[in-house]
Amino acid sequence: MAGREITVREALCEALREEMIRDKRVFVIGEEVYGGPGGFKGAFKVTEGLVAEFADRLLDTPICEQTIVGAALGAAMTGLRPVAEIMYEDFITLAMDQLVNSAASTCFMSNGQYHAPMVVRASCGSLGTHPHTWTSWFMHVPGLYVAFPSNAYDAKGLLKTAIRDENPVLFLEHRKLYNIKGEVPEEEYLVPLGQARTVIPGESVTVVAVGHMVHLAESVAEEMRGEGVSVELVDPRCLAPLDLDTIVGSVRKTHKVVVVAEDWRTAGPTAEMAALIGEQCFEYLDGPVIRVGARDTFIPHNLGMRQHVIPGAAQIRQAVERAIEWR
Amino acid sequence: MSHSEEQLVSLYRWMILGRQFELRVEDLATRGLIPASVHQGIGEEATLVGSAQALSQDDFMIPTHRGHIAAIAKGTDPKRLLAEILGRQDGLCGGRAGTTRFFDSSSNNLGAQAVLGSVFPIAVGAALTQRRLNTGRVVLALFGDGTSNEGTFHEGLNLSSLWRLPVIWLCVNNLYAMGTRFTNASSVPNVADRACAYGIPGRVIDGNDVVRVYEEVEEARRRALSGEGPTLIECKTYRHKGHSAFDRNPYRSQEEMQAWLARDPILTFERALRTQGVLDDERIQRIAADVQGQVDEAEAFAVNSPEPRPESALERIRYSGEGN
Amino acid sequence: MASKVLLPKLTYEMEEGRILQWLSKEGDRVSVGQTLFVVETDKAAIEVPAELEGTLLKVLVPAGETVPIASLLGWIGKVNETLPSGEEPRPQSTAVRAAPQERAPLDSREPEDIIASPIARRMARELGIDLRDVQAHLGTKRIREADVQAFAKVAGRTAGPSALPASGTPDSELVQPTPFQRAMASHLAQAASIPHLAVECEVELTRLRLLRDQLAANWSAAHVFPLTLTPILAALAAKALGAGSLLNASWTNEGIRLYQDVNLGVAMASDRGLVVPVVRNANRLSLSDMAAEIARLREAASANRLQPADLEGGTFTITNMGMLGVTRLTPVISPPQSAILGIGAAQTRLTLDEGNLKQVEFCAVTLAADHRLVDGAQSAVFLRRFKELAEDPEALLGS
Repeated sequence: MAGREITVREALCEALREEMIRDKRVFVIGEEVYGGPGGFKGAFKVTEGLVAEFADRLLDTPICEQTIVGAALGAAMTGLRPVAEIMYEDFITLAMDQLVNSAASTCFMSNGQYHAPMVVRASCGSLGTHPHTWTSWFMHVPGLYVAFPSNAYDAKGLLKTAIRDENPVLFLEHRKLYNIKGEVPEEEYLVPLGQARTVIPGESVTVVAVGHMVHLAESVAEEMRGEGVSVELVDPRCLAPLDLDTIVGSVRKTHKVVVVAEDWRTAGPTAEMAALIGEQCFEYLDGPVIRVGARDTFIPHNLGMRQHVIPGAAQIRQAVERAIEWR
Repeated sequence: MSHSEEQLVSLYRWMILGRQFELRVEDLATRGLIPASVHQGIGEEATLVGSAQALSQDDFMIPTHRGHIAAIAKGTDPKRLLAEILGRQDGLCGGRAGTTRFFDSSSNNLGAQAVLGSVFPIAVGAALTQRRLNTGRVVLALFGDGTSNEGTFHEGLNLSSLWRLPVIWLCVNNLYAMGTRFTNASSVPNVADRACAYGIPGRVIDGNDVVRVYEEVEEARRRALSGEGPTLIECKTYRHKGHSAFDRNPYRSQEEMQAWLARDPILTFERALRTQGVLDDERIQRIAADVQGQVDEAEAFAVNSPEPRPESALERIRYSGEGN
Repeated sequence: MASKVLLPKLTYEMEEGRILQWLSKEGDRVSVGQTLFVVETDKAAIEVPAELEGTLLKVLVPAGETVPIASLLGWIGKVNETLPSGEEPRPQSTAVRAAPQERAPLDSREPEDIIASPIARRMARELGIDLRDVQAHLGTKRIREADVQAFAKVAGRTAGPSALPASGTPDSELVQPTPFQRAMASHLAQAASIPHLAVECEVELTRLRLLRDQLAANWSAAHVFPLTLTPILAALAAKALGAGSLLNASWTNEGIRLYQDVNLGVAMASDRGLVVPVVRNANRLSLSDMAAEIARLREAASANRLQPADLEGGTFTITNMGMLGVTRLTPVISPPQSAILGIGAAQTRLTLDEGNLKQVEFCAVTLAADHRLVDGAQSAVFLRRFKELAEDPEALLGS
């Protein structure tokens, strides 16, 4: 890998730009993606770098999430390659019908006559207003992929792959990651959907973490390494499809596992992962699968309260200790 | 506007085919061969045939759940449609979609709606493609009076007008959404009254006059292709049967039903064509027999088509490219 | 063709047995049902009959050896019959295993009350380790992989001679515990997890001695065996308990099980060690029947002929160590029971009775009870009742 460091935001923009050059059918549709002169150029400035070259391919819409996603579907079915943007994942509930009932089932129901090569990007995570992160709702839907990168390299590679994929992909961008820099090569590369990455190899206990949680887990792993505990950190990068092979391989090695996500704990992605690990690794487990998720309450405005709800490094550490000390 | 005899007879035949097809579907339903409920368009032939026939082959259509007649008039093979309704392997979608959700790419039918109301955003998207690629194709979006109250109606009409998209918004107002009278569901007496909210023309017409519907849609098509944007056409019509196959519709009065039955679009058209000398008994018989044969053929095809393999439910959930 | 003599599985938990004695030797004729050999299991010494008629052609496992169940012990057939070739390998003598071995299926081996992680169970299975031994070794609630690994190391060390003598300890000999000893160790390790409360009182023996002498007069006319104090004390204890007593109960995960009748375990010696056969429904027996049953059990114990059924189902235990010279004892409860009564040796002391010095005989009686069910006051109530009955026994013991 070359030594160039760029932010996640820049990496996403590069991905869009490269794919728009490569394929004329690719365009962006959403609120404030351009905004004309003096416009926002992306609520989180992801599309700012595209304005100069591709203003005609950045379609600003009124506030109509259902139609942003549904129009993306109609366009995808008839030959274009839309990248729809939902400003905050909190708003995606307005578009659930189009995403779940229409887009995800198009190929299946039409028996392949039509399909929906579209990406729906949404910013998520407990930064600012509208702080929710939802992944398990979408993991639940057949035909829908869910990508959730944790760093610049994966963000660029996954978005390019998602745009080239022939089917709907929900692409989640954690807002705490937009400004975080990472090594991104100049040369073109892709990250396949459904392939996990072992961030830190280890021997004693497996930690599976996704999105921003990967960074917290990383700091916990480093701290515990100094105390003689060897944590293996796995970043699935995609929640659907989930790279179970990598996770299972890790658990079969360490026999202890913690799964971490920022969604509400109940019925969150960790629940599905715990069930899968239980099924595939039962005789290898030295204790139950430990889950870390947001407490089952709404994420408040006050920061102290918010910290109490969203998992932090301390919760991850406690969970790892529990996994080790189950008595 | 003058139409050739050929065109008029063609419209008549499509309506006869539509009705006979729906009656056969009803028959198959009572014989227990259809795994779900069916929604028949008997009584709405003029609207459904008139609008579909006004389009070109290349134009797109999104039907409602009551979409058999429109689909056939757009060019769907009745054999494959009936097989799909029966859930068989040779159906349009391999038995997966059934009567309310089928797609037919060969006639550019983008599929009936999974949940009513998705016609609006999807039509916007499909029309967006036509404008950006300058294809010269339009999108006919069909929806009922009930569906016009979904939030997406507002989003879709607003955006299609704003972007001047080549869409024809056609409301099939049969006065009832399931058991709910339109007057109990809408704040205004006509769906088309809302058009001004979006800066587009709204036209209320007699949906039982097939020629009228045809001409109106033709005009809307011209507007769309010339870049003037969408039109909202409201066709007042009536379904002769209940909402679905076994609905006895006690919510509609006998007087009302009789009045509308007297305005049966096929009988009215037939009378008019007789008067004009375009149709006579012999021609009518021939057409009836021909259509009967076509429907018989569709039934035989559908009933003899095998059940799909149950495991095929796990196939083609995602598209994987050529030869998918 | 000659038939195999295999070591049968005689109890639910039996995995191996020690051949105590062959009752026939090579060349003897045996008939169906005739006792062929005696085997010691984790519970008792059991006689195993021959299953067919014939001559005991070969004895492969001599007395004193311990082998796994289903081992080939010998052959029965016709005189001079040749034995199938290649079928003569002697079964391996078993010791505490550290090497991996195929074991019986999971279910038949593992009791439900052991909590162990799946990998710990698998590892134990593969190493041939009994998880109860691991728990006994650790005294922990949950067994994990590291625990099994640690135990395997320990077990491995005891399988062979020590490589180096620990500095400062004298020369020693390493013996394998018998199945009986191992069962006892495991059982008592379980007992260690019960919180014991011991309370004691002194019981004057005057009236008991009097009663015994009165009964003894006519006793030999009706009984072969002599009447000792033990059956009298046992009968008194059974009466003192009463129905539904917390002292005649078991603490279980599902709740406290209260027994309606008393199955009284009576501790007694055998040359294998201490055994506690059970007198069923002791609260309903007459003194005569009680004594007869205890005598029967004692004889069977000394002849090593107690059956597993004789040893199971006890709800309360009495242990009289007086004849061994023990003045007081703090007995250990036998799980899953909730109490045990220990009787000490007779002692004398001087007391004042209406101003006169009197010599009185008494013994120390100690009740140990499961403090999870029983508190000090409840224990004291039982002791007082037992003392009352013991110091005024005639009323309750009719015949």
